[in-house]
Amino acid sequence: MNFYLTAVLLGLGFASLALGIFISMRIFNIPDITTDGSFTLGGAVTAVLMTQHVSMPVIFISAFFAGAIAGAITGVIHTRLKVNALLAGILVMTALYSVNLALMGRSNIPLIEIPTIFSMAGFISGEVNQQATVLVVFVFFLWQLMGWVLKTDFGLAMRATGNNESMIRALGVNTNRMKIIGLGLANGLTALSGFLITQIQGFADINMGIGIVILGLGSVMIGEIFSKTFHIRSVPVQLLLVIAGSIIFRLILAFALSIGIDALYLKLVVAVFVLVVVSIPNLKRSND
Amino acid sequence: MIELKNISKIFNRNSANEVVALQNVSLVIPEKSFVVIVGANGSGKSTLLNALAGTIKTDEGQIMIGGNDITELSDFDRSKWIARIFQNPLSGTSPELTILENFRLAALRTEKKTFHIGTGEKFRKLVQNKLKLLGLGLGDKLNQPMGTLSGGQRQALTLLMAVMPFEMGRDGTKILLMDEPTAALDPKTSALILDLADKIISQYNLTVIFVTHQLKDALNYGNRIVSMERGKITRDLAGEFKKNLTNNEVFSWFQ
Repeated sequence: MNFYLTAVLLGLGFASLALGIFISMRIFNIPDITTDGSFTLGGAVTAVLMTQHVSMPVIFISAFFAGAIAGAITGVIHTRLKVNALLAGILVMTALYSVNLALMGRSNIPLIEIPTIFSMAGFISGEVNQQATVLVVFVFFLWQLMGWVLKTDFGLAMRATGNNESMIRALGVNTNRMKIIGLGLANGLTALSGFLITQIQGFADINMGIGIVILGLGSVMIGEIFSKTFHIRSVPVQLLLVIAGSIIFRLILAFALSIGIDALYLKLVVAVFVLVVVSIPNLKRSND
Repeated sequence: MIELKNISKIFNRNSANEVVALQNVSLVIPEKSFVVIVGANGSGKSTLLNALAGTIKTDEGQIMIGGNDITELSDFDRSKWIARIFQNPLSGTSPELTILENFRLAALRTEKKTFHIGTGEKFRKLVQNKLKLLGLGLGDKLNQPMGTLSGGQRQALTLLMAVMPFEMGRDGTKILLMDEPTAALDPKTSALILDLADKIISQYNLTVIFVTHQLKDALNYGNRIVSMERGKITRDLAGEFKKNLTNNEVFSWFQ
């Protein structure tokens, strides 16, 4: 049972990344590969600053802004230099590998005997309970904040940018700037997942972000299947379903491992699973 | 007042498919006038409208609105003065946002979009009342996504959205650009849309440029008619001269 509890905790840790992908993919229609790099960047910044014993709020803010800057660079390359969004993301992701390595100074930074964000719940006994408490509170506030942002006038302009660009330009929104801000926000959220996961697993690794974008995509897709099935239009509920998607994704991976699938094939399982999730709506349609 | 001074635009310059879309076009439109622009396909009407809206940059010339030189301003900066109705009836609204959210963004056309929730009860009431006057039965469907409405309904709402900033108490130059707003609609809906436009235009004292292929509409609406040919203005009639025009006369311009 503890095995599945760990999966839920990881799902909460990756919820921030899933929300980031929701912004880049669902709101702006941009498949953003920067994610792989900005996730590791968030982890690298966290680990480096933690070993320097910097205070947790400062680490949190640094990780977010490091990711946000990376995303904004992808946005600038895409909008100002007119480079295809996918390529822009790949370029920044590739560059980030070197940046992360330089930042870390080596390929792995273990965090032993260093107080983590979960130490904040020190009044609760048991490491897992502490992690669960902090993660639930963290994700809850993130959900509330995102739900609020997307309801504001700025958030509406953001959603309209991905939905009908000519309309929102005619209504006075600089869509290039909006995309840069949007990708910045998305990757800032992704870096926050790096911040959390590094502290859950107790180390940062240069390869921790490889293929991580698919986790976010899968979570968003799972959330979308639910919101389509139950005709959910409320944005906060959609966000909640994306968070649920992140947890479900992790539980399915845990299940795959528990029935004896070799960890070697885990990425293959992930790819096939996401393919199934993505194609469900189309399979249904062809049956009609 | 809108002033276009010696505007030129050439697409694909110095290539085999070079198109001279606008040639030294000058046009002065005083406030509150309703100008209809007619012309064959490729005559430059839409380019003229796009140059004014800022979606294309002109090669030469100057564009002024109310004394401000806006030649170098982007389309999204010109929205302070200009509202647009597109040929595609779906282009003026965002399908995934609700009717209310679309109206909110339209109300902020001339303003910054800030971190403020503006779709509260007061704003809802305002939009509700507007929609009731429209009579399409949309007054109690404000939370419905725009994408669930028909093209005609969406074009009608785009028209109402164009004047939302003035409902919010903002003033100044009020320009409405309409590029064949009914080209994709059936005759009955077209008539409905144009009647609505006419009502809104006189109610809010808008300055209008209306591009159309429908001769009947060109004769029925507006107080000035401009015809274009190969990137140049060939005729410009106002007042009584426009009133006395006949269908056959305008048709002969296209020969």
